[in-house]
Amino acid sequence: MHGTVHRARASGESDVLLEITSVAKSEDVHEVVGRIQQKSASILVKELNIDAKATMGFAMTLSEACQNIVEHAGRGGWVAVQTYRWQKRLGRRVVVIAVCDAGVGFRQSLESAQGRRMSDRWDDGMALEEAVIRGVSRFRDPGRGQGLAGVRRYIGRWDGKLSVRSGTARIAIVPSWDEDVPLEEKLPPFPGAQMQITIPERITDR
Amino acid sequence: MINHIDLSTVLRRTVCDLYSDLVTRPTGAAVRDGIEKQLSELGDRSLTVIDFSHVGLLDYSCADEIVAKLLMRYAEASAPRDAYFLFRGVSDSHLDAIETVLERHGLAIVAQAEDGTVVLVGTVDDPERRAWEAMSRLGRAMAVDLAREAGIAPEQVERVIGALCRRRLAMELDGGYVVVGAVT
Repeated sequence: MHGTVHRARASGESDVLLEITSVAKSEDVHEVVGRIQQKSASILVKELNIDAKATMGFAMTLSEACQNIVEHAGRGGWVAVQTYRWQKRLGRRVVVIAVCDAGVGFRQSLESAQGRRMSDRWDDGMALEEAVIRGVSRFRDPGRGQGLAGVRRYIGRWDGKLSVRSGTARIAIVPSWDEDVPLEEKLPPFPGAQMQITIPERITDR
Repeated sequence: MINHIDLSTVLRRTVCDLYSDLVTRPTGAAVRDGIEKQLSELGDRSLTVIDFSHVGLLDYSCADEIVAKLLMRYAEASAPRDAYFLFRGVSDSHLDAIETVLERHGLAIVAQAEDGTVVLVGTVDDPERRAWEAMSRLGRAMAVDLAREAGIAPEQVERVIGALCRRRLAMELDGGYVVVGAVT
């Protein structure tokens, strides 16, 4: 007998909004943003009940997440966007942006800032706190660090979750629907950075 | 002299003919360079309409490079010329990025709505806002009239007007003062 048997999708079934896509330069970010806008608008509005105006914010969030690779990683990375139905965990659909690179990581990136003074407790966890929570960047330009701040604002507005892993630590901004810890340390070393942004389906009164 | 800059045209000319989104810092820096090149061809004093009407997405990085850095450069004492800016065609999503970067740097802009009314966006203190709104109501006005209309002490009004002009939110015109956008 030949051929494959089609199996029913498991409860974590997914729809791909953006397949795993390489990001190394500014032009790649333009490409990713253009593609996601075409594909995501109707899905975000119809399936996740996210306000039509917020779909632009979603693309902005994706743009800033990808730019982290271009600006800081020192080498290319990848991005993917998928929707899932988290039946057991949440009972709702979610859209997930996953961005990762095998670059220098948050700690080394911040260490490269000129004139930066390190505190006694300087490790991967603290580097993540500085960058993700306090918006610190290796660049001295005061306009820097707004990308991750924008991502934080967007997930706050849409009750989403942000998780960033780099080196031996992982930091998370945890919404009420999730039971993750805000900071996890002493993890197996991960070169570069891994960022995951999760936006849940919005519950509306019908 | 009033100049009009369509940002989507600058984007296509300076970065890529196929783009309609203002995303990434290099793109923002290239567009700002394009704007500055156009400004350099104008006279010493100019009012430029920066038009977002045909721009799709604007992200924070690009808003910082285009709006914030442009304003900071021309608000400095060492600015290359006396340039003022009116922002037009700004959608809600553009505004989200623009407001964020303005607040970060303590800046403000004048934006023009579809019906032609002009509004302040960004960081302004209470006396500045009152003086600007009074100027907007009165049209071209003298300092003494603005002090009365805005309820600002006469000895303070020059300082407040000076700050508005320095921040590119108002301009001196024929011995009086007008809000940016009043003369388009």
